[in-house]
This record gives sequence, structure tokens and C-alpha cells, in this order.
Amino acid sequence: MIKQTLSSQSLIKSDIYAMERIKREPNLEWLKRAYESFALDNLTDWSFIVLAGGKDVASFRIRIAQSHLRGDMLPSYWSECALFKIQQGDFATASFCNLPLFQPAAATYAPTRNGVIEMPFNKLPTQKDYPNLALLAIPVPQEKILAALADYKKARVSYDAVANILPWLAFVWGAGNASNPLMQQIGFPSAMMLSQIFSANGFDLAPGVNANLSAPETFWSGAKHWQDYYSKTQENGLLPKMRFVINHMYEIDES
Amino acid sequence: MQLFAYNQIGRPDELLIWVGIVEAYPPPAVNFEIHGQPVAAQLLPPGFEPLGDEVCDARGNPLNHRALFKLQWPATTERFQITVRVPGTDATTILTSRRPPEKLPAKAAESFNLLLSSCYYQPNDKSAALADFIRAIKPSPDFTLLAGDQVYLDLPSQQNLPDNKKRLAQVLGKKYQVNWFSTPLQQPGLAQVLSHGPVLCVPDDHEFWNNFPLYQVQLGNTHDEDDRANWKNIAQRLYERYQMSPAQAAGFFRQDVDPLSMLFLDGRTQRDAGGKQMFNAATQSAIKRWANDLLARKKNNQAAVGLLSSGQALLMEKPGRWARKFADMEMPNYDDFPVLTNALAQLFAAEVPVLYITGDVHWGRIVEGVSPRGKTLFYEVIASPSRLIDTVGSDQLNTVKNIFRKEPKPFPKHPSAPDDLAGIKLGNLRLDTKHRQQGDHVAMLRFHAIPGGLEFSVDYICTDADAQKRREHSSTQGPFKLLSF
Repeated sequence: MIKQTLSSQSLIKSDIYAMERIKREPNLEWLKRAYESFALDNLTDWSFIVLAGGKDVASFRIRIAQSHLRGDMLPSYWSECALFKIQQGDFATASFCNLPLFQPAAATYAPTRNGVIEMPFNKLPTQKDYPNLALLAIPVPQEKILAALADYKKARVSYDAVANILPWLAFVWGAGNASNPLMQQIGFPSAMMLSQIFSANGFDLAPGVNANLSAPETFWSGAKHWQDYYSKTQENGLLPKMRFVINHMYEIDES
Repeated sequence: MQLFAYNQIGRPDELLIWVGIVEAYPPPAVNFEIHGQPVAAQLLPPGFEPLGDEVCDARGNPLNHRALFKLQWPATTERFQITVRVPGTDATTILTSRRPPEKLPAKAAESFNLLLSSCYYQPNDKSAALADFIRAIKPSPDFTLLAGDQVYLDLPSQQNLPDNKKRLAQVLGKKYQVNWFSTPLQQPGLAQVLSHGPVLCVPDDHEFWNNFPLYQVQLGNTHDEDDRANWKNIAQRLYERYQMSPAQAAGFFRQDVDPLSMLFLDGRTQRDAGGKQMFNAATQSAIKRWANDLLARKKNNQAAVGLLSSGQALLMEKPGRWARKFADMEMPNYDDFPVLTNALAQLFAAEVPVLYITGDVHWGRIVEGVSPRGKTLFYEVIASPSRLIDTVGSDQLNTVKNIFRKEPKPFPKHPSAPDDLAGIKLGNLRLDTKHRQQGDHVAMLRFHAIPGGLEFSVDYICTDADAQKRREHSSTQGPFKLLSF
């Protein structure tokens, strides 16, 4: 179990809710509907993060690794996270930025971009691959986040993001005696990237957890359980919002 | 509305309470109770003042304030509880205090306990709150010294600080708010450490930025003179409103608990960038007066032991010209450092012993200084950090290196105390390291008066989140004796 700070927030009004798929709604359509449902007055005040949960073996390993961040020790719903880059609601030019463990063969040499990959919106895996999905709206202007991301890509000399990928890949593949990276204080690569570029802009995505333990699960619990904290620390009064759909859980029988 | 209060150190006859209220305009009246009984409190002029974070309502009214209140010490030598309330609301905060004694207790009595803590980085305090460990310390502290870097305004190092002065004040002010108002935010922070008074906060560089006031290559907002001036003004205001007691406004704080004469120095806020001056004129006079008072006590056949403290270590090598651009200017870099060393040399020549305590360096140690005649005249006690910062890049490297070590280091991200003291001089003392401490920790110094001086022990309390490391790396060092006769 990884120790963290618990929130005991009183019930405060938050704009977070489960948004079920309409029939067998594809991920791309669900994301569009989730984005529109935020009904944001000024889009330039916001950035967006996507959490995704897969059900293949690699996703299983990542989800179980994060169970140490949950009080119930159950697998996380999430196995990946990414910055969702979108300009003025234009999905045609939207994309996802993350540090995938499985770096695409066609991409340039990973160290030159500090492991960051940008993937077009329409390449998002389907609901068969990612049955769980969440969209977070974070009240930090996307323009600032993209500037921080540009610096991050060039910052391998000072922060080697690629170094975080290898222990996670070793754990996922069960290489040698690789153990859970979170237990060695090694955060999930995409989550570390998001944590750093948001904290560079004064926003803590996971107020309950040390930054070096960043993982999709910590962002999920941050948005859900720390609204009271955000309500007391956000000068602009804007609080994180979230929509989510959970279509895959592991069957665990405690009876 | 959020309410927080703590007992700032005051002059010996005053019980001083700092009261902060955020998210309220105008700030409401507050009342005080000691042991459940209402007590009178004098609101010190000018009353409630903005905290300096430029957080305002839609009409431009400042929302976050602090005020200082003076109360009478209750007629008890025991620790007592003070309740601060905003009448008509459920905003309440509880703190405790104990009047510092005039004399150190004799060995048969309970010791006088000084808690030394420094270098607190809140973003790394979420696995196990520092305040929970400090609350559990036995015996409890009688005097809490936060010896610098109570906030890290310049971290995380990749942060994108705004150029606009108002926005910059809001960003920097938020770091103070999280540390000071941590209880209402349900965050780990300094609130519960501060609520155990009296508390003295000594500033160091991160109350401004790394190696303040010098510009730093890695900090874009320090490259331009106007940007440095903006940052300095904001940081100075935040320090004054959150940390600085009026009793230390002159640049120093003096408290005597016979035979111990304690002098705490602010060697940071008045420091210039050229290496000329770190202490203002009043502080330089206070150093000389402190030394003269100790010498006078000794001359009058009274036991006399000095305790000196500032935000930086005393026994440090002098960094070269280029190192200052990246690392810290140490005290020996300054032209007025001899004010300190001359005072110490005078005291050592008269065989008046001195204890120097500080934080700053991210490791702990105890150094002993013995005169050529074999008399122990000096100890340096360092406790740092209470929560280590992230050092981007080297943390990763050290973590990975540690995985491949035959015997992994228990604290791979923490630097180690230097192996030897070669090249470091203090008077004509022979210096010897008695203890090295690594990892997150605080230190409790426990004092007793003995004939001719005092005896003290140092409890190094490891504050790591790992219980096994806490057991293995917590220890009591001493007792050590400092005798003027």
C-alpha cells in the first residue's frame, strides 16, 4: 500500500459524473459528447486530459500496479493518460500527447522528443481496446500547457522521461525480477509528464499524492476527492470537471 | 472563510498571536480563550493587513489578511491551550504555547526542548505528514525554530512564473497559503507544526529564490533586474506577513535562558548580490552585544554559553566565483562574515563556549570544536531537510543507480554530509564530526543547566514515510557538555 494524504472533504457541488455510452457509442463519439457537455464559457481558460482503461494483459499489469494507490486494493480503471490537445472545439485537428510504453516504430528516435508522442484524435483505440474512458477539464489555459510541453520535449538533459518508461516496460513484460515501479517511487511516464507540465503552471493534479508517484489513478482520485481543496486554492474560481464511463472491471468475488 | 493562528515569538513579556483569515472581506473580529476562559487581546497596529498575495474579490478588495494580537501570559509555567474564534461562525482554531523559562532547568527537572526543523517541501509530504511525526515527539518542544526554507517559492524548477506582478504575487502567495492554512485545506503542511508555540521562523534563500539575491541561470524570472525586483518585493512582503515577528524585524532575535544566550540572525533578507553585506547594521551590533554580554557574564563568574543560529551553515567552504551562478553563496563569501567569526574568536579566547544550529544543506551533522588546551568550546548541529525537494534529473539518476548497487543507499536522493572538514577553519579549534544524519529528519535539542554551563543531547528524528527507516535512522546523540568554567 502506498501512503498518501486522504481527503475528507464535505460534500460539495462538483461537475463530475458518469456519462454512459449511448447504445454502443464509439470512443470518439463519446469523447465529443463529453467535451460538449462541459458547456465551457471560455475555452481558452481550460486544458483537457484523457484517462483510458484497457483490458489486454499489458493494461492489466498497469491497472494492478496502481491498486496500491487505492484503499480497496482493487485494480485501477485506468491504464493510460494523455493530454487532449484541442483548439476551440475543433476535433478535426485535435490530438493526444503522451509517453506510450510501446513507442511506435514509425516515430523518430525517442530521446530526441523525450519520449513524447502526438497521436491524431481519430487514431484513438476503439472501445474494444479502451472500454474505460474519462475526460477531465482542468482550469489552466491550454496555451500555457502546450508551452510547458514544448519545453518538456526538449528537456531530456534535465529531466529524462525516457528513463521512466524502461522500468514500467520491464514490469509489464515481467522482465527479470522487475517489481512494481510505483513501489520504487517511479511514476507512470505519461502521468509524470502531465504532473510536471501542470505543476509548472501552479496546478496540482493529485493533491493527495507525492508528485513522483503520479499515475492515471492519482488524477482520477484528485478530480473526484479534492474539489474542496481546489475550491479554496483556485483564484479564478474554476474547478476541475470530469465525465467518465466504466465498461470494464475485473470480476473479484469476496463472498 | 479559513482561519489559522499560531504563537509567533515575541518579546519576553508578550504572548504574541498571529491570526490569518482568508476568503473574507472585511476580515471579521476574532476572540480568544485560554483554558476555555475568554481573555483580552490587544490588536497591534495597524490591525489586519493583506497577506501580500494580491487575491481580491470582484471589487478589488483584498480577501486574505493577517493581524497580530498581544495577550498576557497566563500564570502558569505549563503548556496551555489558546482557542481563537470568529464569533457567530464555526471558524475556530486551537494552538498551544508555553512561556520560555528564564533559566535552563537543572538535571533533576524536565529539559528545555528546542525543536530544530528546516527545508520543508510540501509537495513531497503527502505520503506521511511531517506534522504527524512532530506531534508525536516526546518530550514536546518548548521552542520551535524553523531554520529556513519554510516555503520553496522557486520550485518546481520548471514552473512557468508570470511576469505580471499581481499574478506573480498570487502564484507565490498560494505556496504560502498551502503551507500555513494546510489544516482547512486538509493538506499536509506546517499548520500543525506552527500551532505548537512559541515559534521562530528564520528566513533563507528559498523564501525568495535559490541563492537570493543573485540571479540564477536556471530561473528565468531572475535574469532581468526588474523581474528580480518584482519577485523580491513580493517575497519580502509574504515573508513579513506570514513569518516575521515584530520581535525580529530589526534583523535578529535574542532570547536568554540562563546560562544560554540565544541569538538568531537573519542573514538573508538584507543580503546584497556582490558579497559585501549579509547582516544589516543593527544585526552586526547585536552580534557584538551578544558576545560582550557573554564575556561580561563570564567576567562576573556566571556561567555563559552562546547559541547562535542563522539560515546557513557556518563550517562551509567558500564557493568560487562561477559556482555562485548555480549553487549557493555561503556565509564565508561575504565581507561581513568576520563580524561573526571575530565575535566567536573573542568568545573562544575567553573560553566561552558556543553552539551553532542551522538547516539549509539537506543533510544533518554534529561537529565538535576543541581548543588547543583540550577544552570543548564549540558544537555545530545541523538538521535538514524535514522534507526534501525534487532535484530534477539527479533524483532519477540516483534512483536508477541505487537499483544496481550491491548495498542500496537508504536515501538515494539525499546528499551526504561531507566526509571530512579539511580546509575549514574556525578560530584555532580542532574540528571533528561526531555524527552524520541522512534522509528527511528534524532534531530536538534537550538542554539542562549544570554547574559551569550546560549539557545537551540531540534527538535526531527520522521523518521518512517508511517506518523501518524511521526506526533505523533515529537516534540520540550526546549528552554533550559546554562549560565556561
